Amino acid sequence: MGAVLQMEFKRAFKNWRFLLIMVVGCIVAWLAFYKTRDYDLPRYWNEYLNGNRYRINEYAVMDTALEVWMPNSNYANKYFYMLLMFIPVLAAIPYGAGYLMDVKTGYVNQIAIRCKKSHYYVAKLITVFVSGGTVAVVPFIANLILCMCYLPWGTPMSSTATYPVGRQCVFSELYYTRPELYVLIYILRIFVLFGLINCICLVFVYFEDNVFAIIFSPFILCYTGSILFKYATGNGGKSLLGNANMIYFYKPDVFVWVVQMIILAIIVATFLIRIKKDIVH
Amino acid sequence: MAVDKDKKTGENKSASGGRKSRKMLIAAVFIVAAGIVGRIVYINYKLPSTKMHMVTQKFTGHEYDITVNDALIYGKEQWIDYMEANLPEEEGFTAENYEFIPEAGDNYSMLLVELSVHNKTNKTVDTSHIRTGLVLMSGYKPLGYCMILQEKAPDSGTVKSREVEAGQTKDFLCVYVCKSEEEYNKDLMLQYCELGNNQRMKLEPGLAQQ
Repeated sequence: MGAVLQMEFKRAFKNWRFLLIMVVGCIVAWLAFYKTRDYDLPRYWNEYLNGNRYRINEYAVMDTALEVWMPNSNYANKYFYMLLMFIPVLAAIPYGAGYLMDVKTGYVNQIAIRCKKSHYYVAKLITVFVSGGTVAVVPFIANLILCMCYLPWGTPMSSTATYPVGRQCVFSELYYTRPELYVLIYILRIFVLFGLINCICLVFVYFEDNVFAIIFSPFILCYTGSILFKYATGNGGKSLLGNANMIYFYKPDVFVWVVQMIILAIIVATFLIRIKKDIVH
Repeated sequence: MAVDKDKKTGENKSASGGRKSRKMLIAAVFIVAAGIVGRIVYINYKLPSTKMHMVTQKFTGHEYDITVNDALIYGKEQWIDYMEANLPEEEGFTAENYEFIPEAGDNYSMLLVELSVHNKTNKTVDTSHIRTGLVLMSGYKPLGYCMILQEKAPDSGTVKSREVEAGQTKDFLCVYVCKSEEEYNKDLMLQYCELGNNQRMKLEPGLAQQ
């Protein structure tokens, strides 16, 4: 199992598509920081550090690095909005269609006679999950690092009412007491969410054998879910993508979110049914 | 030609070149990572208040107006260290002279410190009324520590504080000023504030030690 997993990880992470998507993610994170109003404060403080104190003394509103982190701006930051919208596609590009390619090239038959089938399928599932999660979290981490290069790390204060996390938001207590833990949970949640969403690619191989269709399948499914939620409940924010940004994830929506995650996990787990099937295609 | 030469010498130059470029890539990544870490450390060290938060607000009092330019938030330890290090003695604010009365039209910066205040009745931390302490600042020099309190709760006899919100323009009801948080006597302050509303409390020198 370990050897198969190692090989799958190597195939997933050591390819030009993965590198390209990483670069694209970092560029979007850079744009979300430098090309939006979020950069105003860091710019003033940078000027302050370089001896120009005018703006800081006259106008500047000081905040912590967390305040200018792109999730805080949510949809007001067009680059963040674009990123959140297209993460399912971006995550699928490096390795989402890996299994389909294995099937098409006959690699899957070759590997099946060299190791246990179950090992191969489980390794594939884990690799696609980790690959998707990694692609999703890198822009968030890159943007946070950029913010921290300009503003000091600090604990936000609720009483200033300048932070978007209200009492109704999930983990709001952590946000105002242990922000580092909050960020860690935020990133883990993004990792798990988009890792699972990326695994939809594997399931869609049952229905589709076109690489592009497979890559777009998580995107299509997620947005179908979002639109259904919008028209059925009048609140698209309850869908998985609608509350992917945990800062705008509210406590009353937790139950609906958990149910959706369980359904998603079950859908993803159906990929493992293939273990029992004849592997020769 | 190069391949032929490699064959003759038994050396695989392309492989060694690959190793070299990989090493250079790793070195470049380390240098960039070190630069980023250095920058983050520098920012957290250099900016006048690590853990800070500035809010531009205007408070209007009965007797004075204070335009708040900056509200800096410190962690407790940083705040005390900073206070100890930066108390502007040359301006007459010494341990013996820590009362500070803002004048009308003065323009001060303020340092916001969030505090939870114990409920006097049941000795629990009253988390529903997080207190916002203010430290009057001149530039980046703290002048004194104060507490903005709201009216006395009619039923419980405890003191509620007003959460300071962006853009809020309200009266100071009472202000308690002392040199540092260590000298800030919570019980004494609460007693003062139970005296009445709409009063600005002055702490006479030496009173905190009583």
